[in-house]
Amino acid sequence: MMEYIIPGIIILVIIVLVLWFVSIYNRYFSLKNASEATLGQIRVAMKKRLDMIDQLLGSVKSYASFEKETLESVTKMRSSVGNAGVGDLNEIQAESRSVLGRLFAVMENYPDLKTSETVKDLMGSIKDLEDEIARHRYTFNNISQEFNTMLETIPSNIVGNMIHMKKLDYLEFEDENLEKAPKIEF
Amino acid sequence: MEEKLQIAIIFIVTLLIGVAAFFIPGQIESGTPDYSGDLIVDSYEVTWKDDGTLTERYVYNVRYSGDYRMLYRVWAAPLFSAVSSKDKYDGAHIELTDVKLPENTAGYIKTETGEVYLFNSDSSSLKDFVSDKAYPNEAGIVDTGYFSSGQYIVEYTYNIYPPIEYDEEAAHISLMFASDHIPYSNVRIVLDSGMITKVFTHPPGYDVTAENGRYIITGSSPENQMIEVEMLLAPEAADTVPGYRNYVSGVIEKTESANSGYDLGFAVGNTIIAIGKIFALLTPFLLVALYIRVGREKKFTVPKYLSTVPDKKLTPWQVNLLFKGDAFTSDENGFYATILELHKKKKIKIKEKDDKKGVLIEILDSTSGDRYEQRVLSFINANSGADGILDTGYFEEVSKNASKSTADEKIAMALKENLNSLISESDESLSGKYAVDGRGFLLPFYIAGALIIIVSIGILFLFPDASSLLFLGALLGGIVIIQAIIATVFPSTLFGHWKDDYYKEKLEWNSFKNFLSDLSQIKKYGTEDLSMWGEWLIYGTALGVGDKVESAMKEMNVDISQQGYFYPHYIWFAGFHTISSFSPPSQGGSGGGFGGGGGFGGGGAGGR
Repeated sequence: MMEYIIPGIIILVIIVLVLWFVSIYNRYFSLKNASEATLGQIRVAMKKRLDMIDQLLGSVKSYASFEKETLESVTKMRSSVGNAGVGDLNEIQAESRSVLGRLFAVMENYPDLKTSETVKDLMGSIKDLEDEIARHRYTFNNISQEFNTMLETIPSNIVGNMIHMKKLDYLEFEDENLEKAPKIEF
Repeated sequence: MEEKLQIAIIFIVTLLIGVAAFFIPGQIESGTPDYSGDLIVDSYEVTWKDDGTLTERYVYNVRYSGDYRMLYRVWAAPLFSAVSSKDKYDGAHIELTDVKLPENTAGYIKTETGEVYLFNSDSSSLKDFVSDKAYPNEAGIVDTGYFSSGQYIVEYTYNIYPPIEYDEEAAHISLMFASDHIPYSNVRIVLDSGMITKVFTHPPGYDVTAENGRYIITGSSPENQMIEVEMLLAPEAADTVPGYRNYVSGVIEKTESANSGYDLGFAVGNTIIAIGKIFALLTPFLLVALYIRVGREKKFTVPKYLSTVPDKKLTPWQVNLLFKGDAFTSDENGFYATILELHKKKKIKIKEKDDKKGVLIEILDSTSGDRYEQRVLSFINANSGADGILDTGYFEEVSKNASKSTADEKIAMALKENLNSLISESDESLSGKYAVDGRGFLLPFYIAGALIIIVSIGILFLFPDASSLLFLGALLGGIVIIQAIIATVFPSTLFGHWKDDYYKEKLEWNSFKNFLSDLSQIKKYGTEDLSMWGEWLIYGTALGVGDKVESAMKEMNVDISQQGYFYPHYIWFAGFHTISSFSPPSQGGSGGGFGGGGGFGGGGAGGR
């Protein structure tokens, strides 16, 4: 009887180990893919927001003139956001919010602008996009956190190191820094 | 709980039930079930001879000392003592001629007419004891000081005078040796007559062998299972075998017809049992197949913990309805979260009472664009006092007084009804937009189980002799229904599905709930953004983890009251809970039972 029990236990342990390895391996790649997908959604939302800012600048242009650099920076950000990495997105976020801040400051001087339906619609859309970006950013960071925790804790780090996984970066937007961020409110 | 885990639980539980259903009825049916009782018959041997003598040999097994004073066999036919009553009865009957007893034990017989005769004793007190305790038509052994554990062998010899049906072609005798009795582990019946042409056993399933002009029938008999034999004999048996003759034309046809009907009943019973077993065993696999076919969701990866509200466009009661538990039913947390949300929206003002025994709710704006919020506002309004303020202490007071006053009980019941209609809010159109209720797919399982029960009961009227088998068939139908009920208990989306990509949102809400439930996760976030904590508290309450968020807030000294949120310091919803769970005094009831038999004789062994 014992000659069957011990090999049986060994085989069972091996099966459990293999299943565990497969589940951890799959979880790493699922998280990695989800991270990339979420980053893609952030890029799309940020690009949409830049489109809105661009349109808003167009609406405001007839009332007030902007520096050429502002318009150019929006165009430049729009072209680069599509393939921006985590670090670049942090910069684009900071820059686009800075443009928004300046835009709102200008708009303060023109009450007619604030009551324009077009501008109100654009501002509403930007607000929704801000919320969407924030939600995706939290999701992205939660994914990164789980991934990195797996990579640093026993025993999942054994599998992570075996398949050469690298830690994921966090998106560290400054939008919690409320004194710098524009308040989108009507 | 993930769907895969849910379906795994259903599979394992229903499979265990199915496997049990597959084997247990077989055991009951085969007669090898529980022979571990306090008193059983290890061996029952009976020999009938065509001269009318019948010898029964019982080996009683008493498991524990001090439990039994009488070990007996009782007949469901008139029993007399051969010495004193032979001429007193004109009709089919049995006469006890001799009893062989264990050493130092007294035997007895109590006749049809209630006369008591003792063997191996002439004690009048013992006679009175037997007269008092024994049934009519009973023979047995008695020890007023209680039997010790062990085996007791008793042999009874009778002359029996059964009814004998006969015609020109055959004679017919039916003998029932037992009907209501303790379990017999081994049964051996010898029918010693060269005139026997055919034997039928009831129930079928006994081993029957013919040798040297004798039929030997062996098997076992669980508690209260009939033991009966029916014989066809050569026509001259009507003249030679003692008994009460009755001419009936077509004896052979009638006997065979009755027995084929009897066998058909058992065949049908066995078929139903087989179908029931197959269903019970197949159900777990069919449930898994059903899940794969209609319930399996698309694969999405979401982090284990999600620190942001997945969709702020949904109101807290909608989140509770859709994402806490079943997508088609809400619970009290949706109501509590809506109260907090209404406070945030400045529709109401919640204030803790000074005695910390409830909250005061004042309506600031009694209208809302949301249908459910409007209902909650109306409820608060309807239960506010003259000052326009609802005091939750009122609910506790009514509940408390309900035990003393019928008027208060009626008020409490009315309040409970109103509150529970809010708490158990459902919105088919909203739920239907997100998910498909799959419980309808379980209907065939209920129908299958019900059909097995209905067919079993229906056939029971045609073949009452197969009642034990048909009862098992009905039981198996019930088991299929139980399996279906187990599957129904799980969320409706398990065998249904989430529409579009809403399953991803469901997973996100689960992750958000995980996050709010884990203090170590929630503590990673600072106290700067107080609105975020306010949202967490409201949505956390909707998801049933408001208490966890509250604990974290207390630990981190987060006070969101300045941000327009209600910041609870204790179990603020206790008053509502008291009334929603109020129950008036209740009453109970009881049921009954059934049984059956046939043929001459019957009864069986027992002890008291």
